[in-house]
Amino acid sequence: MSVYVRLRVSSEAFAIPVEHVLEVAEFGEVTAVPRTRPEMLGVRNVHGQILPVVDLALLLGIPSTAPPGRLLVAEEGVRRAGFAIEEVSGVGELGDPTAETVSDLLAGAIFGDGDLIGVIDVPRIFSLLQGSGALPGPAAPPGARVPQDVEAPQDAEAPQDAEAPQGARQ
Amino acid sequence: MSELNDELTDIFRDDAAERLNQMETVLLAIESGDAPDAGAESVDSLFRNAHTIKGAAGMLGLDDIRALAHAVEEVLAGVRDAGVFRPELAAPLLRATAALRAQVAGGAGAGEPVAGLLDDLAASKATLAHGEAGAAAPAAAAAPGPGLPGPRMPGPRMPGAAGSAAPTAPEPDVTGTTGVSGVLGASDVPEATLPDQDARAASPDVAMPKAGGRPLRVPAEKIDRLLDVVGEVMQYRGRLAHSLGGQSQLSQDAADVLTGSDRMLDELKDTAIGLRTLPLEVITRRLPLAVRDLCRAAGRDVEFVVAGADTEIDRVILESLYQPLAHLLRNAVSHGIESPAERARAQKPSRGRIEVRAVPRGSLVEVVVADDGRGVSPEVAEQARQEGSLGDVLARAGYSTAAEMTDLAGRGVGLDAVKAYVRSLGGSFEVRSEPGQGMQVVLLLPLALALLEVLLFQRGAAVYGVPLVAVEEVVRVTQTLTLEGRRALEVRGRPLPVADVAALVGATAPRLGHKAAGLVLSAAGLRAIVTCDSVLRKEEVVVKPLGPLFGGIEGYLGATILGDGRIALLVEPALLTRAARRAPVLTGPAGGRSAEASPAGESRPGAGAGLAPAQTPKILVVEDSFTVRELQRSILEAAGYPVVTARDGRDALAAVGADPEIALVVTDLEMPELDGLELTRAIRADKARSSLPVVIVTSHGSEEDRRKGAEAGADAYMAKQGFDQQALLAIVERLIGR
Repeated sequence: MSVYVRLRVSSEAFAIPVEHVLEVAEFGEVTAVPRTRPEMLGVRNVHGQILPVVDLALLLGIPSTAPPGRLLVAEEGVRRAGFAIEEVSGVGELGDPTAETVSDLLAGAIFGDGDLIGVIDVPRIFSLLQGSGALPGPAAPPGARVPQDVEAPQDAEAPQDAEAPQGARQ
Repeated sequence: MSELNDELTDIFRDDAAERLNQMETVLLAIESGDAPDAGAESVDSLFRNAHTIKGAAGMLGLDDIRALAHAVEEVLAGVRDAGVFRPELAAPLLRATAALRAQVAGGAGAGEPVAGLLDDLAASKATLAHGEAGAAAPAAAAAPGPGLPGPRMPGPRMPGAAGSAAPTAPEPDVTGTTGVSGVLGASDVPEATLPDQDARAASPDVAMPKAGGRPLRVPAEKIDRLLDVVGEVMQYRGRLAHSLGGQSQLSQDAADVLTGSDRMLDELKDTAIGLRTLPLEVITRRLPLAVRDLCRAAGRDVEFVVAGADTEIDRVILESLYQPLAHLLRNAVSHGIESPAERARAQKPSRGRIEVRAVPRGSLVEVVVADDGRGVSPEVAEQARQEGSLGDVLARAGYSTAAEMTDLAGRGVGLDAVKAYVRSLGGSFEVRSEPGQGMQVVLLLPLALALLEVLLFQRGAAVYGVPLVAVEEVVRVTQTLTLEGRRALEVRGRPLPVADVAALVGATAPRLGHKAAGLVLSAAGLRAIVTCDSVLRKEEVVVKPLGPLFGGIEGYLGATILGDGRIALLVEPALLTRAARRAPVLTGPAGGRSAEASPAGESRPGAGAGLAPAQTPKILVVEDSFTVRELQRSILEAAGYPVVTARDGRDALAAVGADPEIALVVTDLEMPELDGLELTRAIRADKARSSLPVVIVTSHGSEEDRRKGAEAGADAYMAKQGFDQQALLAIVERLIGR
């Protein structure tokens, strides 16, 4: 049994281990950062610091039903991000998650209140978003970066495609 | 960070072992009475070595070693004061060096118990202090030592107070442990150590020398915090200004107070930044050894030189710079410098040369790693000429693969990572190399990380900032020209590409008004005009990183929080100038990515723009008609290019051969002696100048002529009847773009 923050993302229930939750705030004003992957909504000023804001619904592949209402500030080590969510539904103990990971982004799932609740894997999500950019250690083979390089243009083009029609309309 | 610490510990172990060897040699000589000079020099070298070990150990938190080394140092100081090194003193010192060696090699618990040794050393020292008072004079006589103002212990001393150092003047011996300590201080070791001052805390009754000019030990985090606080204060200052409105609404008194406090705030900021910088030496000190080892492993003979080691750089940057620097040096040794045999075949000195040099450039620092090795392959050089930036070509993934790195082509091993690193700091990255001619990797880094002077401007709903250093001027953009399908505007006689910042960064924004503001930017060797809705103001902002989650993103220096709480993105100017140069924007609002994605399109046979030499390229005008020649000369000179002229192809060839500064040839087609086509062919056939761009200008406008010109190897072709100066300048600009 561990303690989780339970939340809803576009009406679907999820849980995040409480140790990864720093605070829950108003969604607030988000400044877009162009040319980033579409899941990155931008940055927000939280207590005078810059916080990246992540579209959790898009990341998890859930059709978004309503504009996000709250921002859940998640942290793992020095990495922090605000997750756009619908609402926080509670904090409390839940049973242990199932062993099978149903998704790359989930650390497992828990049965609770008749729902199957996905446990959001904060470190993995951060690592996924983080991608490349840091210097590899001296021992890291050069080839290790290749998949990232292949991936990057796809990410980069996605928002551009989305914006092109808008641009044309102007 | 702990990696750095581990690495430093390893370096310390090697260094300390070597010093202990030296000490033992000297001590053994003294003990056996063989020392030719048991006075000044021996003591001095022993003292220096002990002192250095002490300093390094203290900084790494190796307290036992530090205490022992300190005790040894104390005994030696006494010996020096006494002026005589009695052989029986060598034994306890040798026991101490043996214990030190065990400690250095094996860590805690190794060797003789430290406490007992410390007592023995204190006792040795006490025997020196007693009854030797009269020996001071002979000491001075025996050791007049030129250049021996060695670290003396001033003032009264606590006899035998091992571990509580008396204050020492900074040692003349530039082992420079102070610098490294600052670096370490930021990471793992809680306290950064400037030269020892622990005496203060440990023995408050020790008389202090005069307060001025003595370094003080300050934990590195405190300095970081200081700069953070200064940044926050400046942020509050911004908010205050915002809520007060303009100066005009303030009373004279209030305005004066604000101005005065701003001045002090500026000074505070500069001082705080000054505390954060350290000389490059801090990290380069370790490089010679590393390079030597690399060379041995790779069978290379290399002279390694560090220049400008005293250049000051932000401590945080220094911390992270070692790895990229080491990486570049590894590349230079293993892929740049040829084997002695290969060098002999290439008629180069058998000994290669690698240089790391740092030069301050205003608010930036240029760090260059240069070698005289084989350079890039001709294919890579050619590709770089076509694309404009060797750095970009080498840093691409294709050149990062192991298969290619073994060969001539590969010098880009991990260069993508170095490039990403430099850009993440808001710096720029450039590579210069020619086949056989070695390579220079140039890193331009900001002097201080946290604060940046930016020009803030508005585009759509967003506020952006670019570093003020990159902004040449601000212009009104009312009407633009169209040059080769791109928008351009003439600024000071030179057409520059014009592009909407929203398009360049890939943001959406309403169409620009008719009187857009244009920022004339200069970055990465390129100039361009970037348009926006309005320019807001110049401001010194606190740069906040976008955070690790934006890891792969290029083009942003970070973001800053404005007085009103909004966030402004700080855009890397090189992103803007590059994108503006490459994007054929007139077909529609292109995203910033189109710059990278656009097909190679026109080739750019001229020197790559990013690699263009700093000085203005010289143009050779070849034309038999005086009037036309003078006209062309005037146009080009008015645009700021130095021009030389020739009357025909033969004169021109002679001029090209004699003047290496000629960077472009503009030639007539029909001339006596040697015509334009023959001149072009001759240039192409000349090994040394075969890549010199050639523009053919002729009264003929026929397709046939154009084809002939192209076949001869001309880069551009202009008909005289359609001749206008803008078109000529645009072509010149494109070929030797600045």
